[in-house]
Amino acid sequence: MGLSIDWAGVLSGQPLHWLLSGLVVTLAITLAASVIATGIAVALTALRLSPVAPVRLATWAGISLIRNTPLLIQLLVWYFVGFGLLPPALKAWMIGDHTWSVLPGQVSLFAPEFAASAWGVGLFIGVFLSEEIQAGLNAVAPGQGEAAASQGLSAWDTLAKVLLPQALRNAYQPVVGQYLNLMKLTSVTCSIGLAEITYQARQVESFNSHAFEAFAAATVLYLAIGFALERVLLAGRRT
Amino acid sequence: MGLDFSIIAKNWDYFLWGRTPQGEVGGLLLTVLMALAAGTLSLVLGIAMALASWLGPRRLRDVLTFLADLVRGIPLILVIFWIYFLVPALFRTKVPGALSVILALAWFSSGAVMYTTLAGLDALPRGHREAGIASGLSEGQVFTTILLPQALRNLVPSYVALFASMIKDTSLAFILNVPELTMTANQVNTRAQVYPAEIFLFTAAVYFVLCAGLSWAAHGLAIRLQPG
Amino acid sequence: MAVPPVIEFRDVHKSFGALEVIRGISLTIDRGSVVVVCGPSGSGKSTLIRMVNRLEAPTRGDVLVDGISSTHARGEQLRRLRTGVGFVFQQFNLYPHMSARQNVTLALRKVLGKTQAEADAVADEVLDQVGLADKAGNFPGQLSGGQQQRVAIARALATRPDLLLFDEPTSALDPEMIGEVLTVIRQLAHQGITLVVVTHEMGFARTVADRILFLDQGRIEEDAHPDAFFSAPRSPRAQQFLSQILSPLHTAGG
Repeated sequence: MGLSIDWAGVLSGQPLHWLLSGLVVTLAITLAASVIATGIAVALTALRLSPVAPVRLATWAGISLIRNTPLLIQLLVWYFVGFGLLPPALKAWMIGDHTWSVLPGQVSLFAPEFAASAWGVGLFIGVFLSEEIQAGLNAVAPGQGEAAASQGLSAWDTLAKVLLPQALRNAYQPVVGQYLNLMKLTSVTCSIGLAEITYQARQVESFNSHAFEAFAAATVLYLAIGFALERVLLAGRRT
Repeated sequence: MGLDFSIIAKNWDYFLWGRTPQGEVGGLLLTVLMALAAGTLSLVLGIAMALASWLGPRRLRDVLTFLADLVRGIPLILVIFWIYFLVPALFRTKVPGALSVILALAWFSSGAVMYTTLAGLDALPRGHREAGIASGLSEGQVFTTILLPQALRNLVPSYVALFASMIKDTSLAFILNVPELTMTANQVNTRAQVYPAEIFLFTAAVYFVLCAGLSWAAHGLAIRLQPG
Repeated sequence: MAVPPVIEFRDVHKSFGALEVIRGISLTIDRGSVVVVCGPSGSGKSTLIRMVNRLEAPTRGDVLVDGISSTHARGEQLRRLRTGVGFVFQQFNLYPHMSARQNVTLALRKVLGKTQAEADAVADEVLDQVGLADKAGNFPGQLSGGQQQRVAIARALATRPDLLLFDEPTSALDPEMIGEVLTVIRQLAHQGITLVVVTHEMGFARTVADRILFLDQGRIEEDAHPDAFFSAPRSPRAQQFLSQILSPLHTAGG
């Protein structure tokens, strides 16, 4: 069969060190991108409801652009082009020495790979999150908005107190799904050089050709993180 | 900001079909071909799994669902690596990068096809099956002549949307140096060095036109296929 | 200076695209009256009252509440006008994620600026008025249709409006629950609040209303006191409508 399995070759020494470092980076990038995605989703939800038509149009165009291009291309754009677009002062600050911003394995939070990845993945999922929220809003009965209006509630109060709570209840499963998706999509960032789990698994493979063991370890790690994340996010759901 | 798109003009044919004239299919052409191959495979596989789930015992549906969820719980890029590295080890044959990507994509997406198809079958009004049974048709006949054709027709827009996703996912072939559109763009960028914005924005635009066009077509189909 | 009527329609027209639903209605409704609006489906009854608090806007003409145009009101002015008009929907439209008490207090806190304590006090009072004091903490999903509609009425009453509009309040209810809702509305009629009720419940109309408006195809075909309307309707359409609605009951006289 030609497949001799040697776990020790992967779960000890340098390979183990790499894999664990990759795990830390995956967790860090998942967290960073999730924060950004949440912020983007909130902003987009508000923008889509703007009374100013050009704002709504521009928002729709932006969303359409993000949805219809591959994540990988977006990461390449942010990596090659994005950094150069930042104001010089911000760039200088990011390149400067900040000991708190360096993760185990010598990965800096402000390294172009990490920053472009966090922003790229965060923006991508943020768009899909706002789509789920919008779908949730559309599923709220029209009578709800009318009842609120007939009582004299302001547009803001109607949204915040009546419509959004129901929308989020409707969309809870898909929203959780998007965050799980985000975690899995961090694997794509290995292509711009971020040393997360997939990157490190390839590193191990090219180090000692233990492809099966390395990718098996990576698979287990992703499945475990996904399982834990799903548990945590679904625990917030009221039965 | 002064963008200079002459780099695109000079390489437009390379972006579109890579080194196909020299015998190595590439560029946008390869992207579309891979998506079509993976799409067809995942459609066949996914529909087969959906039929097995629908017609078979409850147990089978549970098993297939579990397997589909398992594959979808692993990042697609990792599935690509599994196939690329593991199939040669198991079967002693080398697998070209493009084929690894096609197989990985097909396997990964078959779960989505299965779920979508089952949803389409579930969405059919109960009355259709009952009307068929009442007029004397067997369960099997009802399924193949009444339910399945209707479900598949209703599902065409969803399948087109899944195909649009597949076009985007072919970009991951970049990781195996397969010369599809994204890899091609990266090659041009590496050679030219000074036009990353123009190159990647152009590439994004090509994907956008293709995928947005497909989504728009799916939407149009969904409206036209409404009964009545 | 004369006190303006509670509601005034001035040559109101309403079209939905090519479909003309209200074709030139002018009328006034006085304070304290109890008006029933009836007519066949599609006659425009719901659209008519929905234009009072501007849930729909007239295509032409004007609708005034207490002398102020709801058609042209915007923003703060419109919201204030709406707190003076209670609206009860056919589908109740209670907020499912809030308890009965919270449904009632939301507008009190957010629009009238009352404190939680003040709002709760009012809520308990109006819920008691509709006979649901003991259900204040229940959620709509835990209440029957009739109970939900009564909470909806309490919610409309909470802002102490001078005017209450009912859009087919019992049409979505199972027959055994219609009575409890009509009882509540009947009680309100005796308290001097202006009521405008769109309904098919002719027995209720006969005993509670002091004015019947019969609508057909967007026009007012009859505008009369119930006694006159039920015993001697003048227009052929009204006669046809009544005979269809009332035939199983076989009322006395003509």
